[in-house]
Amino acid sequence: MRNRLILRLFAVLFAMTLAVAGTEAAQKKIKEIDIDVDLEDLMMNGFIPVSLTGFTGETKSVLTFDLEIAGFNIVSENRAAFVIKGKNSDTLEGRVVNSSDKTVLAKLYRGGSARVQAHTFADDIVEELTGVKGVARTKIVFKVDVGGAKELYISDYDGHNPVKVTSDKAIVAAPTWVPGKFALYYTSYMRQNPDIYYHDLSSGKRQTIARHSGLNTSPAVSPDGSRISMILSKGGSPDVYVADKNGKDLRRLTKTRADESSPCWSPDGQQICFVSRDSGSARLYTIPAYGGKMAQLPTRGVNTVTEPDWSPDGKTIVFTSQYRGGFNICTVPPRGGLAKVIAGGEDPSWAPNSRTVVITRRVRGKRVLSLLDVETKRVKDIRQAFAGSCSQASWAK
Amino acid sequence: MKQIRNTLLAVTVAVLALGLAGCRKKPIGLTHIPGQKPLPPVTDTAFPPAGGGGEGFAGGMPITETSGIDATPDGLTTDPLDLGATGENVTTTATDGGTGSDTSATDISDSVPVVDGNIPMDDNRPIFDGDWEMNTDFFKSNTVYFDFDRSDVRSGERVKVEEVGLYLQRESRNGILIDGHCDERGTEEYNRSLGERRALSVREYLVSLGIDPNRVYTRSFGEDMPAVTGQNQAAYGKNRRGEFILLVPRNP
Repeated sequence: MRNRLILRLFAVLFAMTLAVAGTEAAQKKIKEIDIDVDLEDLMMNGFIPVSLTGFTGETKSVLTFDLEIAGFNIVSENRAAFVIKGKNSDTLEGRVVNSSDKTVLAKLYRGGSARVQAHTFADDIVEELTGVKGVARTKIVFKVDVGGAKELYISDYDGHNPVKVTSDKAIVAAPTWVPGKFALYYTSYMRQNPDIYYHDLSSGKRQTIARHSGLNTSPAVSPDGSRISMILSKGGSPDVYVADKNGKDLRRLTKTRADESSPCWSPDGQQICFVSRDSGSARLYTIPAYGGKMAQLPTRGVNTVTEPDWSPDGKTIVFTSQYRGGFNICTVPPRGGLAKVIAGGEDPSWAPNSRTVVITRRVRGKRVLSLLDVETKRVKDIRQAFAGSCSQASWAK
Repeated sequence: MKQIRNTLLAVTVAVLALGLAGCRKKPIGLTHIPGQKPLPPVTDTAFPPAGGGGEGFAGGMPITETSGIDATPDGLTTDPLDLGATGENVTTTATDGGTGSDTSATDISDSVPVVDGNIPMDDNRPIFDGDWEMNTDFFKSNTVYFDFDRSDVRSGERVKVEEVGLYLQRESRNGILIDGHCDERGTEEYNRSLGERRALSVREYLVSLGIDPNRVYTRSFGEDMPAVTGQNQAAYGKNRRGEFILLVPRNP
């Protein structure tokens, strides 16, 4: 996760120490300090300054979006730690040069659309410079208000190329991807009751997973895809249940009188994090996925917390905190602690890079989807392709 | 073998259609992400046998009078109620950690004769979309309203539930569906659970009045079906509600 620039800064600092001692090796390094004038700046705000030249039209706008949401700042060439240059026509020619004039990436992209070529180049840049795979070619699924009914759409991570998933003419909600598969679980009211379905998007086949008396909602798939957790009220109160991926071998995990909501899995599949009002207001809890005692997960500093999502690398739980007048996206370590407020918004879902989340924001009575880079706190709206509200986005992993 | 093939297929589909970051691609000659095409149509499988039309919300269905009792809610309020200890002067004791304290509300768990307040819902009951006609108008004036972020039935709202209870005592073949709703100030899935908790509180109160729990269904819409739009206290108050839908057997 530590990007090379940070490592290099440490190397530079080390070199400076040596320079005081006056060694020959340190003299070499000092050159680099002179060139990288922005490194200290970079440490302060977390952004990696790059320049972007030679690209036009959609290619330029895609590269700008992809890089900015990945923690880069587009600056002039003399302030850039890396120079990104190239050209685009039917193909995309891309080059990345570091501050020592060394080319660290040079590739030609052919085929696909201009968008896909640009996304691929952006992913290569991100991986080359940060060591973490880019997410510019991933998908999201979300709920769209189509005038009374709510249906699901999938799209590219930036909101482009939306494709309709359901035509239930009913409320469809709480979608979630099956890890590594072109398939979803979600809740649909198409048979009058909120029931949970599994939908294989490549074949179109859909099967009922949970249709018990009362509420069936908030499906969450274990990281290995073999089990699901969900909220059912068949026991007389909305509780957390687990089952196999087909909804069989059902087991009730919580037995509170209060309402639970929004379960999610730890990456090792051992724990489930969820929301309960057992203490009187909404708090985060964890419980062993095979049964056990629920334990509160402290989120010091914020009250009324909902919608946890556990990062794929296991290090961070992102969630929504509610305050008078709005919602904030916050993070907390998996063992709990002081909550960190990242940005305004709600219902976060992690990208596979454990760095970006897709969130919902309420803007003038309408809900729109945005991406949030948790490390730099930068928020960028995705393309708004719909007149109605969009919400409940889930990021394919 | 078949499993391997299925796995291969799944992986291929995931790579082709999703372009997931799981596979490192050679950037030259990039062809692995096709343009967006419409998805194949949904084919639903493994549904249990349909129990009926399933259209639901068939408003205005006739009420069959079987016992000569006035079937309109207006005719019910003057009847003496046999409701047990539900008086307003009951001392409240917090048996429910989930509702905290509120000066204006009386926790209905005081009057619910069950151990922990959870009345399980029988999975084997007739499914209400198939075997029942749904009448959304019949108990329109009995809609129960809730306090912000609370799921207990306010003492002032109890009489509305009691009217429904009395009706159900008389019309023993009919059932009731309680739709729980929330205002938009919570998050969506939180509200879906809160709406269900509200509907369940109304259900528990009906059961405490002697109604068979298997006749009382609940459904939550969370904040998806507001009664009124608007971002103000008046609108929020009207949206935090439990609506009664009368269920009448299709084949009496």
